[in-house]
Amino acid sequence: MNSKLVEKMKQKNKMAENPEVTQSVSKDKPNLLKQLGQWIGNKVASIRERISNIGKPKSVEMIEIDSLRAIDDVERQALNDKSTLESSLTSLTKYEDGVASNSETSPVQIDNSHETTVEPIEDTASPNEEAAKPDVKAELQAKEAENRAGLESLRDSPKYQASMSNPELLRQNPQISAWQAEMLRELNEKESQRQTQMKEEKAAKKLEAFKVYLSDLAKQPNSDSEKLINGKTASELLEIINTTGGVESIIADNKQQLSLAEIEVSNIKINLKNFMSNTKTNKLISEYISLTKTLEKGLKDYRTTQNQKESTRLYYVINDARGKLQDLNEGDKFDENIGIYERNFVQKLAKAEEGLQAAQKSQDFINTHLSSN
Amino acid sequence: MAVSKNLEEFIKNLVTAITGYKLEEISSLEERKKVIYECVELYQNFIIDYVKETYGPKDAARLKANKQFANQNVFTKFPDLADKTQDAFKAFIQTLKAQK
Repeated sequence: MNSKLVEKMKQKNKMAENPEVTQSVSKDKPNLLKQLGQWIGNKVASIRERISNIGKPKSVEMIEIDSLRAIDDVERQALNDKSTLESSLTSLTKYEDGVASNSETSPVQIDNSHETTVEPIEDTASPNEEAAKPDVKAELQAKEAENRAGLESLRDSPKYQASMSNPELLRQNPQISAWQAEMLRELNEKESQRQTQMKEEKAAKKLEAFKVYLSDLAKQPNSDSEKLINGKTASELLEIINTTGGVESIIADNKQQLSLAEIEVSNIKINLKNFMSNTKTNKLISEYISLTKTLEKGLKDYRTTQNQKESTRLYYVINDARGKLQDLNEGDKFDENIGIYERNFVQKLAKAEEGLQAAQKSQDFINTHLSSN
Repeated sequence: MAVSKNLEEFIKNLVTAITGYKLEEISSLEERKKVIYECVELYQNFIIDYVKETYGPKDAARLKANKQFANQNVFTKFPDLADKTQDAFKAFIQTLKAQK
C-alpha cells in the first residue's frame, strides 16, 4: 500500500517539474547539478542516519512518503510566496532566542500571532524613511558581501600571499579599500594569535621535556652538588617549577643575576681605571705587577731549565726582582696602595668575574633547554 | 525575534523534505534545533552555490549578505534576484526529488 503511494507521489512530482528549469539547468549545468546532488546526497544521508538513531522508529517507506509530501509543500510555499522564499534565506541565528525558548513540541513555532514579523522590532522610521533605509542598508550589505567574496579570492592569490610579509605595503596600496585594510588587520591579528598559541604550545612541550630531564638528573648520585641555574640543583629547580607552575621565575632570576654580575664587573674595572690613573700609584703598581710577573716567570723557568748558563742568568733576574720588590715594600705608602689594589680590585674583580661566568653558564643552560626558538 | 508563521511552516516542511522525519518525531529539543540549523544551512548553501555558479558571484554575494544580515528587502532592491533565487530553489527541489 505504502509502496504504491510512494510511486504515485514520485510520478506526480516528476510531472510537476518545471520543464523550463529542467531544460535550462539540465542542459546548461549538468555538472553543477550532479556535483550539488552528490553533495546534498551525502549531507542528507548523514543527517538521516543520525536522526534514525535518536528519533522515533520509522519505516523507510514512511520516511519517503513524508519527505515527498513535504517537498510538495515546501515547493508550493516558496513558489507562491516570494517573501517566504526571501526570508528563508536569512540567518536562523537571528531567531536563535525564539527557537531556544520554544516549546518541546515545536522548536520553530515561536509566534503564531504574527504573520510577517521578521523585520527588526526597533525599526520605527517613517514610511518614507523605512522605504529608503533598507535600500541603503541592502546596498551596503551587498557591497560588504561582495568585498568579502573579493577578499576571499584575493587571499588565494600569489600576490596577496607575497604581500602578507609586508602588510604596510598592502595598506598603502590605493586599490585596497579601507574595509579590506581592516580585514587584513583582523587577519594579521588572527595570525598573530595563532603564532602566539603555537609558541605557547611549543613552550609547554619544552617545559614538560625539561621537567623530565631535571627528574632524570635529580636521580643521579651526585646531583645535589651539581649546580645548574643560579646555584640551584636539579631537585631545587624542579621544586620551583612545581611551586610556581613554570620556569618564568627561574629565567627572570638568572637574568637579574646576569645583569648584576655584568654591572659589578664593569664597576670594578672603572674604579680600577680611576685608581690607576693616579700617576704615582700607577707607577708603583705597574712596577709591582711587572716585578711580580718577572719573579714568577724567573722562578718557573729556573726550576725547569737544564742549561747552566741560563740558570745563572735567571738566578740574577730573580734576585734583582726580589731586591726591587723589597725596595718597593719599604717605599712610601707602598703597603697601603698595594693593599687597596689587592683588596679592592684584584680580589673583587676575580670574584665578580666568577659570578658573571656562573650566570652566563646558567644562561647557556636556559638557552639550551628552554629557548622558545 | 519572532518567526513568521509562513516561514515557520516552511522550515518545518523543509526539515521533513530533507530528512523524511517530522520535527515532532525527534524527541530531543537540542537535537531538533541542531537538525533545523543543519537543514537550513544545507538549503541556503545550495541556493547560494547554485546562484554563484549559474549567475555569477555578485548575485551570490547579495544573497550571502541577505543571509548574514537578515535583510528582507533584497528582492525589492534587486528584482532579478527573486527570479534567480526561484530558479535555484527549483533546482534544489529537483535535486531533492532526484535523491528519492
